[in-house]
Amino acid sequence: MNTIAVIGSGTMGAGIAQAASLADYEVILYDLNDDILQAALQRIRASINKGVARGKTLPTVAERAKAAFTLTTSLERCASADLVIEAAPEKLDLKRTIFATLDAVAPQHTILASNTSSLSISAIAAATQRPDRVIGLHFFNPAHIMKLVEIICGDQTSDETVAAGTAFAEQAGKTVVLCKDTPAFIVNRVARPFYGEALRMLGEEIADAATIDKLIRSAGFRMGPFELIDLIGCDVNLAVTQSVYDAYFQEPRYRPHPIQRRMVESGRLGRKSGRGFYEYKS
Amino acid sequence: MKIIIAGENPFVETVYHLCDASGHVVDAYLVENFMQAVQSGYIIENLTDADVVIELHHESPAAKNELLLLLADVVPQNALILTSALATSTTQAASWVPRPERVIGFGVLPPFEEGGLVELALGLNSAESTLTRAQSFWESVGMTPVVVKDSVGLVRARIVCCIINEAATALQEGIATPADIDQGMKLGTNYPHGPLRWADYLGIDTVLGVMRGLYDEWQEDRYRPAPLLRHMVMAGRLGRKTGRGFYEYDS
Repeated sequence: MNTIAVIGSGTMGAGIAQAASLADYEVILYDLNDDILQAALQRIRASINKGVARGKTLPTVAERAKAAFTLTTSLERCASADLVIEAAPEKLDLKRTIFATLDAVAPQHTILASNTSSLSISAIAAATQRPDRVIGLHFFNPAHIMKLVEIICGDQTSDETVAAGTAFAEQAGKTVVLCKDTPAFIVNRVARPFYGEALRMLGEEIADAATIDKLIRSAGFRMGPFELIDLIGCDVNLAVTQSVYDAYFQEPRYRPHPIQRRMVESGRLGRKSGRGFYEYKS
Repeated sequence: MKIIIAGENPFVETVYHLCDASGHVVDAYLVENFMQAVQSGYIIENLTDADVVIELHHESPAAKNELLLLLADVVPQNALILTSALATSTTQAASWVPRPERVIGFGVLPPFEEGGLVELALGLNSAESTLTRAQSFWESVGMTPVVVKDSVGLVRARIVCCIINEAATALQEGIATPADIDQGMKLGTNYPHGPLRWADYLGIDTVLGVMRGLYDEWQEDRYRPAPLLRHMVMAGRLGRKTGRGFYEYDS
């Protein structure tokens, strides 16, 4: 496997493309127009330079990586890759359209992967004639730094496809965990109570946000739930919670908390809006 | 001060070391040994001059009730009674003993560093002076008290055990292996321990006790214990202390 294509040059797509470029792959980066692609490539190159400045990346590796990109607005152009990783917005119809197009133009052996964090791999694979060569490769943000990749096996994903996805992720310096195609996979699911119980406790006035954060940090967590929600964004946190709740057909234990919605409705989104559970000076 | 500790590991050994290192006179018992010793009568005398009682039992409310009542009956009337509020509220535990004003709930979650935080919660019948005495006691062993509202599990054990319960549910559904679930949570969200290995350390009986306590308190589906946790307790797979939980351990 030499060439990787990444569909979408947003935060996740760019991070995955960067990780692949630094792992000696040729990278075809796809997005809707040249301006978006040029801006993404600049961000990626700046990020690679930062890695060199911090001593994390060898200058020779960085130079090769920065020259490894081909930018394209044509999905057909992506068909020459051995592995295509889709990192488009989390909309099932959009992903199915992309996968159907890729399936029609890519050779038999090409593996089609999705970086979805919330949609079913089997549902995406059903848009293709090669469900055995469709797989989930779920990276974590920032993808060029975070060490984990959840590998999601759809109903028909073959062992060979799992092995190829694992080999790519490990070559890119990641640790993989295998997960069945179930809503929210491992991490986003098991992490729900970290936020959900904290919000309930706040609502029950068991303690204030700062006290809950302090106690949780004392248990060894790097951040408390409320400072973490402020960092992620209350809107993003609510959207993830809502999607897990819906994906499990409104299973009560995943239900979002009214405090979350009130924060979003009142524009208290966290760090990015200057105020969430805490206030931030701009 | 003379301190009596009774309950389950790793809680008993953790709190014992804390008190012992601070120069207190400490007697610590695992609950099964304590009950046996009481029946044979020989430790009753040892309890009659205790200043502080620390009860750390989470496995079942009935057993906790029996243990607390026994302790409260034989220690001096003015002894401070600290009950672990992980699987019951302070108010519930205090309701089982005469003179509930001397009872206050607390929460620790091993492993913790020396000089960590201890959660304290007043029951509806706890006296304010009991809180003052409890704060002084925990400070004397190098811990910093944080007062929270009385509730099952308090803050830390409630969040951690609900995460463990979700991980156990996911495991029971076969979505991933225990090692991959733990690895995912450590690398994907920077958790200090994988939830299943953490459960093995805390004791599956304690984790199940916390979930049962939460479920009993709120009667809500979100606190329903994973059947796998119940099965593991029935099978004696309590984690590190019995050599087998989600993982196996050399004794």
